[in-house]
Amino acid sequence: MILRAKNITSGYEGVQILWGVDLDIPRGQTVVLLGPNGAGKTTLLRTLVGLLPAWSGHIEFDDNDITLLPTEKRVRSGLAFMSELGVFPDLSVLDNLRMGGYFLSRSGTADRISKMYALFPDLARLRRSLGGSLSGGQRKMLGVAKALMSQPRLLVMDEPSAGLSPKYVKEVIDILKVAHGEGLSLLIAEQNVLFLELADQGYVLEGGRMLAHGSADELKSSDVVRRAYFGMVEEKRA
Amino acid sequence: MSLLEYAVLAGIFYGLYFALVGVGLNLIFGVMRIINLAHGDFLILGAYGAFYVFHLFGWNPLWAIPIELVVFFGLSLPLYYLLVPRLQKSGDPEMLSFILFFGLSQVIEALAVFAFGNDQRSIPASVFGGSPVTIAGQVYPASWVVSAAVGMAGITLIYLYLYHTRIGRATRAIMTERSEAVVTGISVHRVSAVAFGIGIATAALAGIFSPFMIGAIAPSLGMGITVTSFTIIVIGSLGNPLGTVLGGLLYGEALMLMQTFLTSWAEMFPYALLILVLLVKPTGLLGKAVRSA
Repeated sequence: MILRAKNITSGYEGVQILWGVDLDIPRGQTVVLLGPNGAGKTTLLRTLVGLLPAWSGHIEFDDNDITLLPTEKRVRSGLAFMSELGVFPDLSVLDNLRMGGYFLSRSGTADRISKMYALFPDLARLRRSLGGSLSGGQRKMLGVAKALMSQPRLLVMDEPSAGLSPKYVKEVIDILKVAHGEGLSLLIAEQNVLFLELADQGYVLEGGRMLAHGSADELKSSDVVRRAYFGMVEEKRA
Repeated sequence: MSLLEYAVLAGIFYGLYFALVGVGLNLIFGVMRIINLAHGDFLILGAYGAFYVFHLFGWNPLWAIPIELVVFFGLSLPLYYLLVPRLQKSGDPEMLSFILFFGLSQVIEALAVFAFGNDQRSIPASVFGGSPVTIAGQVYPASWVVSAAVGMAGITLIYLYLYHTRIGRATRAIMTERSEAVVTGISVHRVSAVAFGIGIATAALAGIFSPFMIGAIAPSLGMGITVTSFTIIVIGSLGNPLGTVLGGLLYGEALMLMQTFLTSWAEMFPYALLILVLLVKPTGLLGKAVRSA
């Protein structure tokens, strides 16, 4: 397992959101964390990367206990996080990538930047543009590239499809296929079940508890997921 | 016509100097979202440094520049780690910073009275050569030109720092999205501590020239200078260090025009300008909203 979370409870200033959550991510796999708004997906991700303390439970990354490690050290040990925002809006594309490699050596940063330009040629063309001026899909591309700069072993993503039109959602899924081709594990928190297409496994979180867990195919055919999410997605499109 | 030309050019000298006066306050606000109400007191301490360098050793006050940059930068690092991380853990760091740095301002002022006395001190303007400088047919004191040049150099160095160094880019990253900087693996406290040090060192640097540009120095003048600095950075946009240049120039121009044509009103001018800007465009002239209150 690249990541193992056991019996996590957490929340904000006295309001408990997570009630004993377990989550395992096998090495090299893509795991999608599904759940409606307010299910606690973001809270769980923020706890995994250390932006929120775990009130109880344990988090292991690459067989090391990281429960008490500050965010900066988790990121430096190979656990990258892409927030919903994902980029620095006031910094150029190039500076965003430089920040993603902030703790690499100078030459290491330059190597990774050319690697990212090769993976995502659009970014090379846009390198002088501000992060905030990019289209929704381009911004997610930059967010992924910035997160990949440090060559993480696990990339944790908070709602990469948030605020995007269906056309861009397809684009983001393609971007993530590229990212996965880089050989890293992915944890993607999403409301959009289209992302199950990418996944080896899925978890369903609701009301701060894990409702279901299984292979992507099992979840696609599961009644719980169907009722709760496929229905919702269809409605949204109509 | 020549009186107007005189005032406009003088406004540019003052403007470049005042940009330096305000830039440190703005850098600290931009990076840490705290208001350093002791800003003016650090400036006054810088002025005393220049005074003693001149009167004790008989050195040109310009020698105070390297000494003070090192001393003030060095002293502000422990001050950062003592105060700021704690502040930022609180629910409302901005409000709490007002109270805490007001306290710090009072402490510095009291210690300055204790150490330097209440008398007004000055440095003769002739230290920069006795003869005035003629520019575009107008005659200006050499000290104004030197202060403006140092102001411009200081701002240029801060620009180069922010846009052409690794840590400077990280500083801008923190200014634009602090939480994103944390999850990107940037050592937010280390980068902020350096910005805090630069902010306070530039206040002291501006202080070296305050005996020539602002007037005789005394421990009680700090708060007034903080208000002036605040006016400048609000005009130029809070949280945008380079906007301070615009704020400084507008402030310098307005001040010189007032002093030339409406002398008796010039005293209350900074305060009136601050209120005016806050009423008309609270985000500053280059402004984006950086705070929600």
